[in-house]
Amino acid sequence: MKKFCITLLALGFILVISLSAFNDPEQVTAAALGRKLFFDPILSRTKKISCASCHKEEFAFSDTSAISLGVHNRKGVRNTPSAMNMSLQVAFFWDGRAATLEQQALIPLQNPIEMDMPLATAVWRLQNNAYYKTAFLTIFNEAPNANNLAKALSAFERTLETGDSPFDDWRLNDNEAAVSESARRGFTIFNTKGRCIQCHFGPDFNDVEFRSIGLYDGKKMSDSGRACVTKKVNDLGRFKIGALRNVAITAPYMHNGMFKTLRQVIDYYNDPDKIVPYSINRDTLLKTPMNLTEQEKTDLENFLVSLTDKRFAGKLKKTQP
Amino acid sequence: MFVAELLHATYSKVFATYAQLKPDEILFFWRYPDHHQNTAMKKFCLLSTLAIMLSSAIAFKTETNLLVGKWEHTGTYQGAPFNFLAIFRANGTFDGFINKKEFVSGTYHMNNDTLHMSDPTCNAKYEGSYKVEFFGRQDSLKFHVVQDTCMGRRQGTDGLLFKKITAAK
Repeated sequence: MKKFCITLLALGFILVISLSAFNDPEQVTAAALGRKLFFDPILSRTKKISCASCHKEEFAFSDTSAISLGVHNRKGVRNTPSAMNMSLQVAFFWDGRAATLEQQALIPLQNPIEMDMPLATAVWRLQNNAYYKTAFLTIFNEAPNANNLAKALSAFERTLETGDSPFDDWRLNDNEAAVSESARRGFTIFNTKGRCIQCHFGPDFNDVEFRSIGLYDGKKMSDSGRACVTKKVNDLGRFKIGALRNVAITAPYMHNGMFKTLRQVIDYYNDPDKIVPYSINRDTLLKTPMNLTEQEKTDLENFLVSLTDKRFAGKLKKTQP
Repeated sequence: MFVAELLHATYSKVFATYAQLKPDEILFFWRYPDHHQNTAMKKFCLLSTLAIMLSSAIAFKTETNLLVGKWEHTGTYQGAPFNFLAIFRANGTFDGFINKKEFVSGTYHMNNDTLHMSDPTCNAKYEGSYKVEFFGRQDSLKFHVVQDTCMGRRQGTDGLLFKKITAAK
């Protein structure tokens, strides 16, 4: 009996220590707190969806639906972009309505067709949650509020950087074997005949500008994009240039998710008029067809696939033909 | 490697041939270069010429390009540290990386202390020029713009101090 009591006490002690190790907010960083919040449905009105419901981790924090569904299955208006590789970005959302990650983080929470959560209610919920109350106090020395909520979420998003793709391996380590010969040819096409480099450049293969690729015709395609924010006619149909890292696993593509595959995207750029004949304000870079051969399209696609971070390699095999 | 081996073999043959000759024979053939009756001396002349040609080729080939290697610049962006890595290869290509992410690739050549570089982001057919100033044991450098109409490249290059990390292929 004595042995049993000692064993029981010892087990209890170990259990308490283990639990405190996992729950001790002193161990939690802003980024770790942000991660917990990102995956927690506490931030939606119905407590049924979280940021991660649309930004799915396994798809590089993007969605597989053309348009994501918010609370009560309310349909959004644009495709969910990847939440990865945000640290070097200077504008957020397809129309660039947020200038910082902190600003961005709170907008979907409050959007009625996304999480539909008044900010005050979100903060109230966190303040009345024992874990979050302690964690915020520990990390920010204050109770949860809109400011530190945004800080925590954005701190987490800033950790979502990917720079370990076969392409990076090839260029950084001069490892020719990291990518196929076709991908290497694709990189050349990307930089030359394909003209992709004119907009998709930099560490994440996007520019800070907003461009119209011709997906606005004022009738069937009426999302005016950047013009919603600036109210300028010149910005009609312009959208943020999408980053290309992990693009092979973030289908469907474009602001409206109208293309299901990378090949469809390449076919569009190759000759936009064939798909959207009466676009308004299309960028002059896309004025003439590229006249890519089928082999060149394949090479370009293989290059884009080579931008997939190695952590998603398994996912790639499932999504690629 | 092949050139070096060939040069070594050629020199070996020259000296072996030379060793076979007596001093007066050498003098004779220097004085009468058109005299080709001695096949050993013919060989000597031919091999010497070849050795000189190869030496010249090697001399051009191994002209030191101090820029070849990996160069690093560190700084901060929005309060967070960032790392700018530039790789200049012996084959005349270069790549730039931010936080190990490739963001530019192109071609370059050096003309004395001036770097001429082009990349498709700016315009593959246009070359920006920068004077390269090396410091210390040539383990750090600074670029000074001479001429470059590509503003992005100019801002990301002019006046930046890089330290050498390692050699590149």
